[in-house]
Amino acid sequence: MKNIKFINSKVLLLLACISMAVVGCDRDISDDAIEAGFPQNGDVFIDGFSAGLDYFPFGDSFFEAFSVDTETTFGGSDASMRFDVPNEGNPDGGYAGAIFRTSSGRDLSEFDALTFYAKGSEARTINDIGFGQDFGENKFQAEITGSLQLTTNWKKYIIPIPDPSKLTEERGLLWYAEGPEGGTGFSFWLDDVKFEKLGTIAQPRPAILEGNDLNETTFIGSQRPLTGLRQTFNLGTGIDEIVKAAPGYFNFTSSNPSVATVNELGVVNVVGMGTTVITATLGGIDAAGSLTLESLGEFTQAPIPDRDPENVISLFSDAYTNIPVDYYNGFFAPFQTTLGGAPPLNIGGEEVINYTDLNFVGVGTFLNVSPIDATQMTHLHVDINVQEAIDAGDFIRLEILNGVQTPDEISGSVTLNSSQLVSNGWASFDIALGDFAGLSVRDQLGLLFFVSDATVSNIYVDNIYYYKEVIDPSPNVDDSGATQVELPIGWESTTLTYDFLGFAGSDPAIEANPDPTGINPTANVMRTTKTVGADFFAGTFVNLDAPIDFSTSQKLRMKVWSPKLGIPIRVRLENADNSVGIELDANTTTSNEWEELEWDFSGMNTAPDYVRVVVFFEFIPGVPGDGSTYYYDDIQIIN
Amino acid sequence: MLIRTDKKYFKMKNVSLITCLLLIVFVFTNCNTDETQTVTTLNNLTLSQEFDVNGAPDPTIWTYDIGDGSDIGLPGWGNNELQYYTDRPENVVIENGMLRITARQESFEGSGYTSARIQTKDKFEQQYGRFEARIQLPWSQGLWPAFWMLGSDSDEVVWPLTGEIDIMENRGQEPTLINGSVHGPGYSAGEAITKSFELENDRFDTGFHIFGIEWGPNYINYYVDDVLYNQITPEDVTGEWVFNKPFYIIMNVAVGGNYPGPPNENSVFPQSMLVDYIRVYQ
Repeated sequence: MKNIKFINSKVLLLLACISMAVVGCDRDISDDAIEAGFPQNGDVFIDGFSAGLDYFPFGDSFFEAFSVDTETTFGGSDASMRFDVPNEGNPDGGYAGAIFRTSSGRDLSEFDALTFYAKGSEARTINDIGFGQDFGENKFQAEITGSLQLTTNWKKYIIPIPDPSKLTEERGLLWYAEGPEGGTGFSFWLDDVKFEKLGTIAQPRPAILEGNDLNETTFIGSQRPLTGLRQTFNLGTGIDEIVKAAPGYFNFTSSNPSVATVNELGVVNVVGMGTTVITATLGGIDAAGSLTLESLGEFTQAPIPDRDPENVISLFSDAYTNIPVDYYNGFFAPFQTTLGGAPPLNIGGEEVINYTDLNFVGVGTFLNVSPIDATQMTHLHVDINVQEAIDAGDFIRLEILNGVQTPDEISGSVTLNSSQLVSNGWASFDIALGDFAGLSVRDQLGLLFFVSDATVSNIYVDNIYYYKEVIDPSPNVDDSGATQVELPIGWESTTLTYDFLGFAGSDPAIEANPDPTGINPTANVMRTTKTVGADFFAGTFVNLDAPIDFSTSQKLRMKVWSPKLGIPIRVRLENADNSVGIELDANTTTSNEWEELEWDFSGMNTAPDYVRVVVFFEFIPGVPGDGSTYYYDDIQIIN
Repeated sequence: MLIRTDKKYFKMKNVSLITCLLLIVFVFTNCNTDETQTVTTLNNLTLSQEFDVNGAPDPTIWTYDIGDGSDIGLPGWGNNELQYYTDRPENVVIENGMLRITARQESFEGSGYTSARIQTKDKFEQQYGRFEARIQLPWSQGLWPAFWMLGSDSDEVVWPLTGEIDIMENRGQEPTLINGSVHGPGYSAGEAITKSFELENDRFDTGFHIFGIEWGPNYINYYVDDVLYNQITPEDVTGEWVFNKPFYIIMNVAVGGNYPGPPNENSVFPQSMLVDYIRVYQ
């Protein structure tokens, strides 16, 4: 059907060309002749589709939502428009939404409102309903958002046209979008849908930026879309009606075009240094709201990440394909002061987040998007540029939450102190996820907080991503010729006695490598089975004959084999009487194959003589042993 | 306008009576070749306020009511009104050929709003005649513009015995409606004799409209533009007819009060009533 229509419109276009050519021969046409306009037909759906109107559902909506109803109609008309909003999770589309477009333009400039009668199978509020969407430029789109309240009786509704003089060739006569509420759908009906001249639509009060006067700093190359565009009218009932209005209705002005310009889509482009004020008019009336921009000149972008995209889950970076997020600023009431991030800035085509008035702010991935499974990731990366002097007590605490708003919600945090932050420059942070103490599980990451408690108030943030550090496997350890038990250990000596012991339900033994493939083909490995019912802290230790030498490096590596992905392995180093110990977690990033993990004890107390290496698999408080068998091998300090 | 009501009050028998009277009017006017309704008959000008000279209203015609009514023992002017009336140009001025009475939201002498009320007592009073004004109304919840009259004996005779003729009053939240009323002994406030007039496909705050009465012995005809929409006679009122004596004119914009209710968060200030002219004929 649609193809046929398309061909027809081409034919029409051809005919139109021919007729224009004919008119073009006529040289006697008077200067006073009025240009033939488009038909001034305001009818949309009276007793059926008006001329040329067709139904185009949104691509991801429930296509069967719309039907023509000949039984439930208003005022005895022949037919009404019926919309069946699906239940949540409907496999054929989770919401109802469509545009109703004519095959050629209509001149609606003599009307002042789209009106219709409507009722619902129950009292509900329509998400969006309006006109001006044509699947083209949508230049004069307008809608009522979240405030059109249906009742179960027929009632007349009025959607004022923000500026009728713009609608001289409009094809988008009606559009709507409505989703289930509380999980369930419903039905609603529209009838007698038409544009009309009410004469009582008055007192226009346009606004940009929701009528706010905003002050922002910016840089050359920034792109800043103007949001909150709307028109408010007083209806004949005395009630104000707010209509969201597309940028096409407005004329935008920059007081200093050498600093910034505004295009017809309402996007501000910063082109120079200095200050400018962005304002707008609609239909000759000054819009409330303004944007005062102070451009500070050129912007230095954050370092470009170079990690293999295969090993990255990116929340916010131009270098990677970002996963969907709920927001970059959750605006948590009532205590949050932080502004910015909604949306991120666009500077010279690169996006960057500028948080101002920072006390805390969260990047959310738990409401309408899938939480992040960072089980295979090892680190969090973030670049931070502090836009102010840094005092001794300043800090930014990064806090990660797993299982947000579930009974299993847990969190861990790492604090970046004043010596790590950089004033007016980028500092790059790569933080091992194991350092987020308490974040023992990270398969459902839902929030990443930046917390400064207002010690730092203005920061740029870029390249927020989790990544898996891929370690070039270190050489296999052959300690068959060793004279004492010391690092490196490869469990290959037949002459030494390895003094090891399992505790709290751990059952260890040195055995032949069960899987001599991949990065670990050596003959012997340590097996440790966490028996059923073992304490969560069940582990295996080996005593060393010589203390660990941390003089050239503090990074301990070990090859591990686990049947479970994403479980923490804790390594604890102890001195002889266990009066001093240091410990760290690293998570497995694969299963049923050998991998090498790193425990970086840099910055920890490595001075004592550590002569015992304790290894705990699946060190999660409250999780008892389940009989899983783990292996480890090649314990070494490596630079 | 000392005490008002928002009840619309009309008795059925009165409707039929008026219908009869209107029919009579039509019968008479049908003698004309065209069939347009004859709205007014009196054409000898006795007062013409054209507001062509910028500045304050003509002091030989107009005086100001000042304050919140406390001075005359009626705080809120007897209606819980919220404004403080001043004679400042911010509240009352003639400019661009219009009298402009402006209600403002501002803290002033203990009130939250200011506005103006001017009247012609002792300066222009007339018994009977045609009183009309061309006005564009303000709008918004809680605005109460009015063009009205009180009996010239209002200082000696207590309201409502003195009589009140409301040629036009409006609630800002009803931009398509105005009301015309009379108040007298036994038919004041909630019992006033009133009728509303609604514009079709238009409203009173977007353009000028003529509001008038033609008043004679034992009748008052109410009209808007070229539409005669009501007649009130002694038969209609439920008490003594107190309109056979001189009255004076009052123009004001009140804020809040019993009639429109208070402004709300959607109310827009400032708000002006623009008066192009006031003309009185005998």
